[in-house]
Amino acid sequence: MKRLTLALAIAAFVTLPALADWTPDIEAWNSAPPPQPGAVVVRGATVWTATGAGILENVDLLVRDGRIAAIGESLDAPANAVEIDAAGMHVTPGIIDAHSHAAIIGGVNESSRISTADVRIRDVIDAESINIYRQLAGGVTAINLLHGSANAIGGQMAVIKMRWGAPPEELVFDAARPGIKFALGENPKQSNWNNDTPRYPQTRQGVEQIIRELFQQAADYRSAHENHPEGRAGRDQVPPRPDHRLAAVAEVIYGERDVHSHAYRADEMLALMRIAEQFDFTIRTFQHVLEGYKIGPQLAAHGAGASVFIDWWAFKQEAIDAIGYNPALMHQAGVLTGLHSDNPELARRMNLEAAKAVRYGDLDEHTALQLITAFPADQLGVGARTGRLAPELDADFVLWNGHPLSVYSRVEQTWVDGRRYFDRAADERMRESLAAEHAELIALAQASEDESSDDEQGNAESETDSDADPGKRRRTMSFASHLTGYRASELDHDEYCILHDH
Amino acid sequence: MRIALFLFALLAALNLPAAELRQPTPDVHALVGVRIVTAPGQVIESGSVIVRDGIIEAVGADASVPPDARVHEFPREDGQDPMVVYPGLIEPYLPIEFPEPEDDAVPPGRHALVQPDRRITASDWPEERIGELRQAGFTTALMAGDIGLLRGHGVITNTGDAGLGVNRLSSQFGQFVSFADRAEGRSFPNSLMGAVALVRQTMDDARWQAQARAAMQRNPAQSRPEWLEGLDDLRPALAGETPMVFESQDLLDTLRILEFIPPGDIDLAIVGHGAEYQRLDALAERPVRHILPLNFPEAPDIEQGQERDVSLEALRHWHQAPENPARILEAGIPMMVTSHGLSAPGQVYARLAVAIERGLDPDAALAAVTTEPARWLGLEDRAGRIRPGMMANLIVVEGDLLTENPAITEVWVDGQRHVLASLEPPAVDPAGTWDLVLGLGGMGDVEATLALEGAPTSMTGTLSVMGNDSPLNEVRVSGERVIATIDGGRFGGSGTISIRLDIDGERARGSGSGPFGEFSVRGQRSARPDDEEAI
Repeated sequence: MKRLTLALAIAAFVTLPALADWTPDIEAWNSAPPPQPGAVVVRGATVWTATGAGILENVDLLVRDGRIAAIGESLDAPANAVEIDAAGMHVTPGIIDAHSHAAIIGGVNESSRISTADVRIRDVIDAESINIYRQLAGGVTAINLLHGSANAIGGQMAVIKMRWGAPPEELVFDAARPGIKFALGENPKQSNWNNDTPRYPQTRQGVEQIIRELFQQAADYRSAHENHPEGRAGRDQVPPRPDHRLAAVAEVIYGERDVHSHAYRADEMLALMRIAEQFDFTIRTFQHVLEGYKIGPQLAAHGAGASVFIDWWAFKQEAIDAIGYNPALMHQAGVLTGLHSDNPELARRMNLEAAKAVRYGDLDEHTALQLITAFPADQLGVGARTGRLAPELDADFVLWNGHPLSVYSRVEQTWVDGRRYFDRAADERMRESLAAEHAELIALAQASEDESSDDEQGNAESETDSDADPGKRRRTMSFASHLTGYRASELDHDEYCILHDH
Repeated sequence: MRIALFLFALLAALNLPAAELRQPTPDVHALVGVRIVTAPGQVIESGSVIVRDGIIEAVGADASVPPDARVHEFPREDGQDPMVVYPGLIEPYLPIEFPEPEDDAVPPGRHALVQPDRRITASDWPEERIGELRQAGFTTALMAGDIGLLRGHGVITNTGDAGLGVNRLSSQFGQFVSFADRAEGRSFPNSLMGAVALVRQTMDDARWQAQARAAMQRNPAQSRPEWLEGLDDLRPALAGETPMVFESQDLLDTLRILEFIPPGDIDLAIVGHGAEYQRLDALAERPVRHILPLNFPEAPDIEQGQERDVSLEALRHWHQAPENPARILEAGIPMMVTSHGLSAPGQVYARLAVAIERGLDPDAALAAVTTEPARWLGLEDRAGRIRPGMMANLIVVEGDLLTENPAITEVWVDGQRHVLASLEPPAVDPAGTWDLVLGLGGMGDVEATLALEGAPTSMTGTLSVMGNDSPLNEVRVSGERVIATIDGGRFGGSGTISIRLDIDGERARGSGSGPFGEFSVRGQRSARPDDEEAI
């Protein structure tokens, strides 16, 4: 048997193609956070406020200590202010992506149980993901890192700001409301899984039932804890056992943790809203919502937001009824609607997703931009901090070299908290210094190789030992594996969300 | 001496009372005329070490040799390095393999990855690895299980050759934890965040169990709480009575662990990963004791014209990793060094030599493998120094210890002398290309090519199996035998694959072993170095 294993191991070793482990030149750990100037003034821009003020032409934007101080014509700025001449340029709020898996390490799904409410994306934020920098280059300033859709009740989400270079705990956007991923339809019922060990439920009504049951268990759990006496009497009475899964679900039904539920079909969204209403809370958003246009009034009446793809459709049976007019129709029905990426690559060009909402459904341009700024910010509970350009809000904004909904426009600068995290000109300069650093280290490595080839002490071992990471090693499937410049973790996505042929 | 030891071991194995076989004379030794490094930075230029019954009795320039001592002299010729005695090294992290638990072997109410009550027993004794450690000069080690999330208690042991019963110093040190393991397939947890959640839930369950039991004792007239087997064993670590030792996978994992275990009761120690230098500011905010591997990457392969295939990330890490130990100490983070992660524990010297070259203070380097782990393990008065009253755990070496390839001649464990097997001078020159057949028994044969170059005393080589080249870690020629090792990771396994070949002119025959099992090797030389040049 051991010999068989050896033979197989040799065969596997020989037949596997060598996968290039190419990684980007910039790394978060050695990217110092940009300074926060006391004052910044952007002069003469077209400012898309994403507020009732609409689009203001030829105005100045003044930032003080990381917050927006004023927007208006010919603003006075302190003498030491960083002046940016933005004549001919457009300024928009930073883009907010309310559905992302772009900076999660060690798996997007805890796919084992029907409820994994005890897992926390907060524990696995990948501060080293190059997606953060690349999405800054697309004007994104905050993203909602969601658990995947493998379970009816998934993990707890984490909203981060794109503070490239900061360690995970400093990425976390503290103003965001706590949230959790739910999922309905094909994924939690395991429709498209190669699954040797099917789990309950296997039908849509089963998903509805298990959610209702878990809500009831969580309510019982909360009351057991609340009924446990305090003080001396409490010490003498066996306390109820802690259960992090039920505790998180209890937060949901008590309105302390928002539900962001993956859903395609109208019938199952109606079902989840009915359960929520029975437990007297509101579903904060549905995600994807491909059939949302069928139930706009019902979504609006419940108070559920909708975070959607604009033109992803027909990629599986339950996505068959999707239409491009969906966001516009829901917005017009009074649903708090936003566009999301659900994909680290799409996230770099969300402005074009917004542009499609002008084409499909004829939204006005300013409203279309709100679909990727103000509205998703409101969905995440951070609308009072970001997603719009108005005094007192965080200075999260983007300078575009042209109309932000044009395919010909690009991001020149992206600011988060009044810090310039992306600057196209600086990026181009940085490429030269990176090339120089690379050449210098290559020369050093070549010199040391010449040295060590005369050296009898071979030291050809540690790479494989030290790189052993069972999480990484076990990964067998890589989304868009033809893309280079990504670590496997950066292509992490919700494999249950869109694919079905595995 | 060796025959006596062998007989002793044989008879001990037969379960006869060992006392009947012991020499009636006490076990007394005097190592005389040696340089003695009693502790980092403390040197006696010429003196003696007196050992009685496994304990250091005296040490000093003028320590008198007892009349009943066996005297060990180390005559030196002019120009030869002095013989130096060092305290034996202490390995603060020796993960040992446990068998993977079978799913159906886990009783209800227990999780296969949660085994805080697991203890290393005599039957787990990793004799071969203990032997490797001893030969490398490690005389004490902290052993722990290597699978699961909550992995159980560590055992502190000396590295003598008679099993755990004789060598055990403490079987209740530390609680070992990691976020690295996963359940198989669709079982919980199959993600990193799931693993974190399970550890978090388990720790809270253990705290709950303590409260519930206390409430039950005060007031027995109530419903009995569920009993969670094994979790009581977490209590000492949760109360800070023994360290909680987290094995970190990478820098993000270290930051995760620091956030997961906030400052408080738990006495946290982290087994590091080698890239700590990348965020020292964050780590220095809360200096947690680190057990540091010396897994410096080798220089990347650079092909002419393909320089861009080597990532800047890999180059940076290759360049900076050797500075990691020095920079950690500079940042005020307490540090020990482990040989874990190296293909052989003896590599620790070459790596420390590199770290010293890159700024690590030599005394701090020695402390990181002697006094620092001794203090952490609560063995300050028993190990890590050469001082009367301490265990006679010693290294005898020609010249300095912290050099690339120190010439260790003897390792003493509990006053028991182990003379390292020395290689015979080479009697053959195996340089050239060997066409080999690896016999895998019922699985048939695999062809391989072994290329050896250099003089017999300093050979390097490559093993090619079905077109893929693996460099040999080490090639030694002893008499007519070639002994080569290859990193098992090259073939998707762990540990080392070793090959022994007896050379008979142009023919070779021998055997190999590795993590996958045993195999036979036979073949002949197809080219000598000269022939190759001619081609």
